[in-house]
Amino acid sequence: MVPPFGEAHNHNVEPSSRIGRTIERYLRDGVFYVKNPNNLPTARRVLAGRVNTPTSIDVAFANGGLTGAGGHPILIVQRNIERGAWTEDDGEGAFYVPVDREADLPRAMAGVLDGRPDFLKTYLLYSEEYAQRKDDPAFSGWKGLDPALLPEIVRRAHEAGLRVSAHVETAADFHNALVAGVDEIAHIPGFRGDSNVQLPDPAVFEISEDDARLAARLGTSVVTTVGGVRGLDPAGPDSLLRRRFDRLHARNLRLLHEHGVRLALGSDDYDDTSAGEAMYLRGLGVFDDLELLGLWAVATPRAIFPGRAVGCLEEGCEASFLVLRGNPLSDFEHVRDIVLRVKQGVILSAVPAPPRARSRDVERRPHPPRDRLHRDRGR
Amino acid sequence: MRTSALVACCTSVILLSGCSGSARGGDDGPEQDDTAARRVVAFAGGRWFTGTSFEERTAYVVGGVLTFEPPARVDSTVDLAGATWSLRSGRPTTTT
Repeated sequence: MVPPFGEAHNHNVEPSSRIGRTIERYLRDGVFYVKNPNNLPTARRVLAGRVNTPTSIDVAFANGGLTGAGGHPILIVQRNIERGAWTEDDGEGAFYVPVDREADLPRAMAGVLDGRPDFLKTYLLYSEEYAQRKDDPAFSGWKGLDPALLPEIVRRAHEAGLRVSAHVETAADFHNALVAGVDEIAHIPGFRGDSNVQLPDPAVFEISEDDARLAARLGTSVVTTVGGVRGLDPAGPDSLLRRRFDRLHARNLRLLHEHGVRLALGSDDYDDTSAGEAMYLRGLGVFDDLELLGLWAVATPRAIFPGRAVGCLEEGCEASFLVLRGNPLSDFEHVRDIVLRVKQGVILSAVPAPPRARSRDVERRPHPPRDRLHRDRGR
Repeated sequence: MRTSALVACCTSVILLSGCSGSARGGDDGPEQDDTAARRVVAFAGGRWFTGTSFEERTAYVVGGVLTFEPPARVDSTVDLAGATWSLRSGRPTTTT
């Protein structure tokens, strides 16, 4: 018996025609706890009764995040409006809240708090170039908050009882998020490379030893989200790039792990659960199987629901667990061989088998198109 | 695997703690109704992850919460023998 797994970064739990299949997939993979770090504020109401029940997954929602004008995730909003899936009302003030000056903060925070989020999402993207990017439309979607505003945002959020999660792209973002006092960093720097999904200068994404030490001292949680590079076939035309990503991710993860930084496993992969991320991490060789199991089944659920007795099988813990057919410390593949799922005392007895793969079914492609690595990740 | 003395209450789940048990998300944890709180279910024959290794124990679920102290009353028992690696082989094979 192991505690159910966690997914600390995914946006796929949202109102959509595929939500039923998404929930089934989470349950099938044994992933009971999910953190959605940016969603339409209506998601919780629309999904009421479908999540956060004993027979479904439990989800923590951020609602719309705070970003700079023209900043990430504005391109996602524009794309969804162009596709006819969303309207203008789903953008500013809903999926994202722009904040450029401290004077904007009281109104922005009031709007965010009105939606009763479980935590607050903030965005830093190339914050070391904030002044350069701020008014340049060429960087639309590739910029975020003024890093000088983030400490005050964190202060106000904490005052309201909200933990703060920060999107980062670069090592400088990572540093700025840390010193601002955020509770969680939602990505490892370089998780998707630059705006062209390249790594011309990996040093931009290399976390410093001082920052790793600081993250450990502050107790800041860091979410992995590095498994998207599985979209780059290690034996294919982008194998060199894949190896560069693998080296960067292994280097950053090893540094954080050696300094005792709190890590949480998250995929940020709309078409997957954290299962793929776990397998990618295993392949990197940074963690042994016991450490990886602890990361996925213990640390991640606790990072998602820090006030709950989850991620444990001790006296007084929630009665949620997975029965595996074999010992995952002898063969880690047993994490995929779940014979019984129990959630909050309820045996989930009818989790559907995975549907057969179809040629058009992107969800089950072993290597998603490289374009998707860039386009659909990083919220 | 056998799930002795269990009653299938709903279409897709077997409720150990009553069909009307409910929970909500956020940091408040599960909310169980009075029926759930009264029902006691044992899980026997499994090995439980401690964070560093696996230990063979019998666990009890009371109101959606785990306990390893045998309660005065057990309403039903889930026998995990045969479902898992631990007892099927007859000897523990865990590593620490």
